[in-house]
Amino acid sequence: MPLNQKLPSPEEAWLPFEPTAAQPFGRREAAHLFRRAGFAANSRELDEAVKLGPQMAAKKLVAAEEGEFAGKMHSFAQTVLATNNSQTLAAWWLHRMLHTPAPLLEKTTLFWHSHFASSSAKVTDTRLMFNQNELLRRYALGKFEPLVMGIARDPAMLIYLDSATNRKTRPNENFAREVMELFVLGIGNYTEKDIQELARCFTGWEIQYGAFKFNRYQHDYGSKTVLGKSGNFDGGDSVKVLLEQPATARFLCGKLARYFITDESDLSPETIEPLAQKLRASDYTFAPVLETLLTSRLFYSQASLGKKVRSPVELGIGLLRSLEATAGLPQITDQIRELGQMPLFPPNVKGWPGGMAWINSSTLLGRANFVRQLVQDNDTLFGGISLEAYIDKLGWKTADQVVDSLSEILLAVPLPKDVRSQLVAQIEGGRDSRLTKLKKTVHTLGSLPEFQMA
Amino acid sequence: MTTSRRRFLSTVSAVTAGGLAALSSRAPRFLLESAAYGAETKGEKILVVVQLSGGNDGLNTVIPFGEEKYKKSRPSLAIDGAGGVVKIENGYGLHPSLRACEKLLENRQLSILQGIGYPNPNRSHFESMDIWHTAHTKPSRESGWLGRCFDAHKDTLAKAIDPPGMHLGEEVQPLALAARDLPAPSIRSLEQFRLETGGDDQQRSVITSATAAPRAAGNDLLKFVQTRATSALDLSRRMQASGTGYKTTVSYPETPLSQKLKNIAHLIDAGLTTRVYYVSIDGFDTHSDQAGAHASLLDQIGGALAAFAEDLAGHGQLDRVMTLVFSEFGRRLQENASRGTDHGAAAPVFLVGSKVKPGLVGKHPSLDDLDDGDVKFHTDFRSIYAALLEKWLGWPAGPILGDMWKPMECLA
Amino acid sequence: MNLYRTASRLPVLLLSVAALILSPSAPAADKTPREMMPASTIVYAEMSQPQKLLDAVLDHPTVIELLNHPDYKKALEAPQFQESLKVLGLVEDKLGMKWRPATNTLIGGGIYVGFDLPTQGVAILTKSTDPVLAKKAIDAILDLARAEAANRGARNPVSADKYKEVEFYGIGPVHYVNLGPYLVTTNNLLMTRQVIDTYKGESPSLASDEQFQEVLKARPANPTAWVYGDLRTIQALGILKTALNKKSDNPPAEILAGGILGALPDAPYFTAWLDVDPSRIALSASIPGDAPALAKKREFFFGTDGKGSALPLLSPKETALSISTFRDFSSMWKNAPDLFDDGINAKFAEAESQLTTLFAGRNFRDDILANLEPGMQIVVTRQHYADGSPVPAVKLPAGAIVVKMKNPPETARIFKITFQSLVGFLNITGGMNGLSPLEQNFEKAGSGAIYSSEYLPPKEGKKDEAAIHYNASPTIAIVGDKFILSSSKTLATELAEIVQKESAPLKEVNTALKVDGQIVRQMLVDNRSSLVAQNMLQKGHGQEAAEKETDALLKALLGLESSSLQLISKDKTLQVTLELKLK
Repeated sequence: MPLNQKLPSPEEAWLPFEPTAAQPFGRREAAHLFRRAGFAANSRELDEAVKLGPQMAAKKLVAAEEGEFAGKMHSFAQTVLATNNSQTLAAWWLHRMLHTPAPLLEKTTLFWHSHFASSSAKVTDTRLMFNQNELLRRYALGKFEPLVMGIARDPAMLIYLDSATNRKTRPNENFAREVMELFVLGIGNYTEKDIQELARCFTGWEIQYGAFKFNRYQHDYGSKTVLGKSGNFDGGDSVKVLLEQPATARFLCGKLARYFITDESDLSPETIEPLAQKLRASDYTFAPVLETLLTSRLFYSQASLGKKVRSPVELGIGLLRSLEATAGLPQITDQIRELGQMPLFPPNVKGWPGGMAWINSSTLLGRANFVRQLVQDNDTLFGGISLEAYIDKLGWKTADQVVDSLSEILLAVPLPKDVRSQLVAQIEGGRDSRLTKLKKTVHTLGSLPEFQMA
Repeated sequence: MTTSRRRFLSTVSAVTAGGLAALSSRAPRFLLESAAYGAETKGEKILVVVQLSGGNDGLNTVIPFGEEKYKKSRPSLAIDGAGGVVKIENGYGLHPSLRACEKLLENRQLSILQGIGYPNPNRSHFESMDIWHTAHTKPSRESGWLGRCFDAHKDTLAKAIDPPGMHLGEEVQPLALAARDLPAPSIRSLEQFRLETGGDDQQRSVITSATAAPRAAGNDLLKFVQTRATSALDLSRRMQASGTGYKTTVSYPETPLSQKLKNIAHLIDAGLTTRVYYVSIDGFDTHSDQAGAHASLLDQIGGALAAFAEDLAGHGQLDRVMTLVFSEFGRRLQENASRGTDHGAAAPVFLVGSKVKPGLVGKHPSLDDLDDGDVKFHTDFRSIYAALLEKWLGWPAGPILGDMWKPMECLA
Repeated sequence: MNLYRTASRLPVLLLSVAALILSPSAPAADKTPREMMPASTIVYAEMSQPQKLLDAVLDHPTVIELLNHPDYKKALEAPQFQESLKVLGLVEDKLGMKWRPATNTLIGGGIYVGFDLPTQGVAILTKSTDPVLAKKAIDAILDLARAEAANRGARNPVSADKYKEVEFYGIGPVHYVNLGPYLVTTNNLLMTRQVIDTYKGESPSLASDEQFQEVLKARPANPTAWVYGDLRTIQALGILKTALNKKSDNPPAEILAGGILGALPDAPYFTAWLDVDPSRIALSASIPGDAPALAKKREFFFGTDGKGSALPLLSPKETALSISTFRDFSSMWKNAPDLFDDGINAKFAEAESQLTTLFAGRNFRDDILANLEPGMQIVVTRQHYADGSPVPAVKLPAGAIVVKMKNPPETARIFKITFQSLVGFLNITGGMNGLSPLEQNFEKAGSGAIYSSEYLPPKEGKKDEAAIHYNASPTIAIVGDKFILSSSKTLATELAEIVQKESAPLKEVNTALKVDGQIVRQMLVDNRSSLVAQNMLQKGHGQEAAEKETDALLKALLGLESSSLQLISKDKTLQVTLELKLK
């Protein structure tokens, strides 16, 4: 694509992307869509998406998850929960990401997990973490208000924030502060007084024996003033007040844009505003907003293509999904944790900082080692067969075909020419078996800076 | 920081900075600064924290063997002057299992800060540990004292190649490192700092050269990753076990604590930009049959600290590494009915390094003036933190600890 | 899976053996293989009816099940395996019969293997029941070797030579020679000559060695396979002494096998034998070992007089695993400084401090262990849930330990109080983590007493999907001088009744262990949904693939009836026997 291509203006940014001869919707663009809206795609999925075109492909991703899969995963989880082991529950979630027919739902659930962060490091009852996870999934593409209300009553969240009790004589400001700063409004859009008043609205909201309970004896029934509105508010009323704030939609859309479009935070408020309007207009429903986002000109522009660092989960599950690979999840969970993103264990209530923070010496080497270990392990299967048989089945015969097709699937940014020829030469020369060479090619590709980009 | 890495970084920064400046006026500030930061880093000071979990018996660590009351209070646990105590000065000595520390004392590398604690001592493990970790006596579990430093200096620290804090071990990460913006990783093994190729050198060189090959302009984020990847591969080369890798003539004891400190020495020598390392050793909650267990634990600590200091000195790193050894509380003066000791309050803290005020610092707390059966503190632990922050790490202590803590005179 | 990989190579291995066979119609010689192996042979093995073993293994339903397993079939797709199958096909064509009947014929007269130290040579002696087929087989091998060389453009690799008038062939280092009714295959020329010398009576044979003769006399009748190892040379070198006489850094190994490892450095030989028939495989190994002498260092293993023996195995309802052993842990703990190195002793000191805290200040070594007689019985059974009580989603087995107390009334009181305070402690810590409390109960059981604790049933949720801790109802029982510690009240009650009947120790048995394959299988079937979930996690499979694999495993287990292990000390020998019973 031409380097000097103009970025879309705020007015044009969210208009639907229409492929042209100069900027088509090919396998690379489809791969971009799946990397962002899910956990990357395999060769067959890319072909299907190209046939559908950008609008229909995105529509398919936004559609609801089939009930049968959800049911199976639910009973799978019950067995996992019987042991109350949070590491295993994290592995269960990664299994779900690996096999889900609705990757956008899982990707968005992961977004909310970092947004409404709670950690198993503190919440030792794994079932509470599972319940929270199901709550996030239920509303991930749905409405924000019931999601916030669910979180306000969520045992895992309130335990995590030391807010399991909240008495009218000593309102607990922890939860109220995070609602303002991290969950709904964003920093700079409220005062300390607003936090104190909001805390009063949530008095009497308690957790007892792992369940939410409204203790009417401890609720402050007096009048409160939150963000300029006064009334005898309870928690639910106060959330409605927060959602009326224009800053709310802007804050949420800014965060969604960073998650789905680019790590570089130079998307201007003017660019975000039209999307925020859309969110308000849909009564804070995420599915239509994400459909707009994932079909937009901005999403397919140079501001977005290759302008994100892959998170460890995106890297691990993405690699597996793009090659239809299966491998032992405990090891994968372990490695993803070492790369800095153990699901169910965010570092603090702000969630994972993401972007450039994923990258340091140990995580970069760890990423390369992860790819190597995965391809070298003889128990890893690709579409149920060996890597060699899988690549043969896809019809990638020559070294050029192998390197180009793998790059297309695995890399968000094209390889420099001489690196490409180096890889081709590695397959063509040498005395290793074809299988060994193919494993090395995937290992090399998975170690390059390009592979670290989403 | 080793010369090779410095040289490498300045080359990269020159290349990338030049290239980028030419490329666009919308210059990627983070990239320029990041490269520049690497070039300017010159052997900054490092803090290593060793946490003794469970409440170490301070009175049987620094032993007042000359005092009658000590012997009387500890019918089965008292160790007297003839029992192999490592004598420091008139009537005070280290537990015989800390024999390895004798050399540290001789070399003026060990500072024993006595009577350390805080007001209204809390005798719950978790709560007292939280107090030490957060440096607040009414802890909010929001952030730790070290984590707050990282956040306070995130603008500079985030540009360094490596995270500012690092925890080595399998246990849950200590609250002391908890930060809102710059979380510290927990490292389980040094394998995480080595590119694995199964001994295939050709594969290693393909990856290295393909990573370093020039990239087209237009993606600053990619360039950023490339810079760090090249630097990581360079680190990996120096971390490889063979060849140019780490060599030490010091034989560390085969204990988990020693091996962790050895790994830290290795990382420091490889030129990581990390400023704080954190390790812990558990088992100090000796309510019963304390003698054997406590001796074994102190033996592990003494051996590890001595080997670590010798190794750092051998690599010319001791002048920039300070080790802090603390426990959440000491133990009662009076031993209990099952030949152990119960939770106490004040206790000694150790500092190891070449820039410490050596030997005993501050008075041994009096055995006659007790607070509910425990010796009293006379120096608040936060004044040690203040000293380490201001005079060692070079970070103002006020914003982290509050303004009331004057740095303790414990550094040389 | 390694098992499959190994199994997949089985036919190839057998073929290679079969292919080495040649037995011309030479006049029957009077020499036995023992008389043909040199006296310096240090390992000697014989199998006089190999067909019995092959039939028992290959026709077993479990093996057939394994051969039909998807993982095995996948292994068959590997290129190196396909290559081997091709060679196998070629040989079968030449012989005009399938590999299995061919193998049976070619080694039907027995197979004998010896390793000779001075020549570093291995000699394999085989005897065919059909000389014609044997000739065909060796021709096939030589032809293949020639053809393969020709293919590569190399020269004929088959050489022929003579030593003391005896002709032999060679392909590379491998040599073939016919001596009497045996085909002798060796891995070097020196060994070939050595065997010919011995055969001709010009060099002493293994059969003439005195120690060998003694061992041979004492060996059981008609084993399927038998191995003799001469340890005198190794002993003289002192390798084992240095390796085994130092203090242990591995307590589990010391507990399990310390007595054997202690006897090994002084043992002049070892012997092992295998018995196979369609319903049973038994492997035994023995070395000389004088228990009373060994007991000087390892009293905890053999008892003060060296005659420590185990009580009979307990077998309550649906016992999956039962162990009974003579081990004196009190003695082991006391003698730890002699048995273990400093690192382990430091760990013992740390453990003692923690355990003493757990036992409310009572010293674990002096107050707890020292009050127990040597010996311990352990059982693991399928869990039985009382009627109406919650049934957990994951069903764990129940387990119990039975020990004998030294001063019953006093010790029993210590244990009772310790148990009660432990339950109290669990209720406090469990309560903080939201667990329901354990309710304590007391019941009389004959002359004994049962102190049980059970979790209060959950208020909500399905009765058959209860949390995992409902598998536990920690219980102790005190019956006479017996103390029972059990994870389940039902099991403790059952055991309390069983141990009321006095039972004498097993004669000469130091340790016994038995696993019931069908109960183990039943416990796995009880947990099928967890196994499927495990498979989905461990292999990353989707649900269907995971179910298929799990069911294949459960089906394969149908073939295993039981397996047992015994350590026997008698007549100055130590013997270990492992037995597998098949359905």
